[in-house]
Amino acid sequence: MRILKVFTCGNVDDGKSTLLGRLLLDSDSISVDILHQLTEQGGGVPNLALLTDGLRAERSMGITIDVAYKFFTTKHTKYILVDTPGHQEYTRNMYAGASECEVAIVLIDALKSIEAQTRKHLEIMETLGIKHLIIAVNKMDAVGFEHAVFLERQTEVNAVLNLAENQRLHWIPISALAGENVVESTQAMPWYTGPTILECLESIPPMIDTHSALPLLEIQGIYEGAAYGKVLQGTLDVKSALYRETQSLEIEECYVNGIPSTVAAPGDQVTLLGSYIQMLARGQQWGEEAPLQCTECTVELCWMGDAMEPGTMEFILRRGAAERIARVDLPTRINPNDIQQITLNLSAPIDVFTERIQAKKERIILIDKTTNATVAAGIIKQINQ
Amino acid sequence: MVHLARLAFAPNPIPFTLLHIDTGHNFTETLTFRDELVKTMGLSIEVRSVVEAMRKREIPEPKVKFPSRNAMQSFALLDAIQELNIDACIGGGRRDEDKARAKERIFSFRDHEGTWNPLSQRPEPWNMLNGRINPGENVRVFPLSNWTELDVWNYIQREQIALPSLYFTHERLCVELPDGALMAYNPYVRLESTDVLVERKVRFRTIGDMTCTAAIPSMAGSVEEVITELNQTQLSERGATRLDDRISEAGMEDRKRQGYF
Repeated sequence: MRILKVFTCGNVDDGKSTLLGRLLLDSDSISVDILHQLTEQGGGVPNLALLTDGLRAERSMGITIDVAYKFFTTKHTKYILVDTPGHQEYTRNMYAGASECEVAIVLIDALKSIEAQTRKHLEIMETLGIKHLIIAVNKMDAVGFEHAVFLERQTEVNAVLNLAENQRLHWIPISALAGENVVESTQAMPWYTGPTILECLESIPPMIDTHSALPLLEIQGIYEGAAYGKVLQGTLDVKSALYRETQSLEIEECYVNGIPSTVAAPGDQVTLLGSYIQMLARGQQWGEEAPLQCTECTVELCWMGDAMEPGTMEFILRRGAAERIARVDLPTRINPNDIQQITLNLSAPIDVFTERIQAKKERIILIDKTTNATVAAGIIKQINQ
Repeated sequence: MVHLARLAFAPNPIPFTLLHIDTGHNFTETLTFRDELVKTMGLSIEVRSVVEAMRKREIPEPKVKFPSRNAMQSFALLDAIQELNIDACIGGGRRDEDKARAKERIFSFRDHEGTWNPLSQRPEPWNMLNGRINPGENVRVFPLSNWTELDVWNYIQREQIALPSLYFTHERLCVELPDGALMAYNPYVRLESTDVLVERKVRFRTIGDMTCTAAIPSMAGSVEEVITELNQTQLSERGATRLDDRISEAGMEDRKRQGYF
């Protein structure tokens, strides 16, 4: 069964949580006891937004503050739904929730022209390179299901959208409240003959087969004479050597899920035994070609910590399992939730691959040296040598 | 969790110790299974007593019909973390269990008092997990965060993992509550004169304290039958079985803020 991670975003009150609730309700994924509780809270009609607002503060303020995860399963797919906050001050939570998803459902309010926060969310989709964007024009019931309104919103969004070639766009007019075009097809909008949101999700093809990519192994730790690692991409074949700097690695003993194996698939965790363990270290990447050594790079960051004044400061950089000290020369003040390009100087090189930088797969977080809080997340845009 | 840990480190042994926070209200079957698991897999285990932690703090036993020590587990857990100098506790919590859990990170940071602060959690973009802590702090780690109850059972079936017998149908003497919930009859329940004891074919969907985990009527005697049953059930896991979460909508969030797992 394939797993598809989907997140919803859009401005405050555009109906994100209601949409997720509707998706779960109409696909029969809400238990009767939970539905009973929601119906009581909604005064006779289920209050779908309360399904994902799991924290006291969220319920008392009536907004989503942090990411919530919900699950449902169809015949062939397990969906992990990530409900992300709409408020500007929680953009960082939205960025983190979106980072790992293949599909974004962006909600646009049919009643309103596109707003600054929606524009920011679309910008983040572009930054993260989310593969599929479903743009759902919601609250169509409130505009008399008018085709003209749908077209108007489409024109507005197209004017600001700047997607990469491999990003796909799907437009759907919906009413999350009334359940039009979420799971069930619409009766109210005969001018729309395309798929519902669920049909659209079901039609999204599985991710490109990473088996065909060049094999790449990340070392995650060395413990009691064994090395533990993860196959980041490609198929690891113990008969083929892996390379890093001037060294080569010929695997002697490899275990996958506790079983001696000669191959490992993308995503597999492996245990390696052999005489070469002492040359392996946490955070290294071994590839069919040797990785580049990167000590200075430009990253596009989402700032998640408190505001920072201009100046030089140091953070702990984390890339996969690798940790380095990163020095940042901040030219201007950076505020929470800002998306900004920044140059990082590293205390020691990290292993990177050009192809993975182009694919937006070289990602980092920055950690505060004192509090250990995660203060930024970002994608390496280029290596500066 | 033990099975996953074994696979993660195999062929080497699991490099950490198991910890059991024992409320004293465990089912006998649970304890038997625990001891067998430790023995057959050659593991080490530390057991810490909730009753002792309560005694230390002069917390009296709850004087209610179902005197659950569930919330008091946090005290024993926090004591154990301090005593054993634990930096990370790995547990089987899942996001589909409860709406507060649905908000929790995979690496859930706890401060020096063991407190969870849900409004300042560390973001986990691309599953990049930040387990860095200062002395006295700890992280709770939930590798199964994105698994559902059904995922767990499918995995158990695939890997043929041994389970306590409580998960499968058996005859049990139960107290039937007015809403139909079936509580295992046990020495800790304070029976009222109006209570009805019934003998039923039941199983447990979660295994917690005898005093707060309800059984469900079930004929499922094998993993395959449990999976079939779960595919048909209309009730959520905790809604069907947990008295402690029926009391308040924020039950789990509040317990977690106080250091609960």
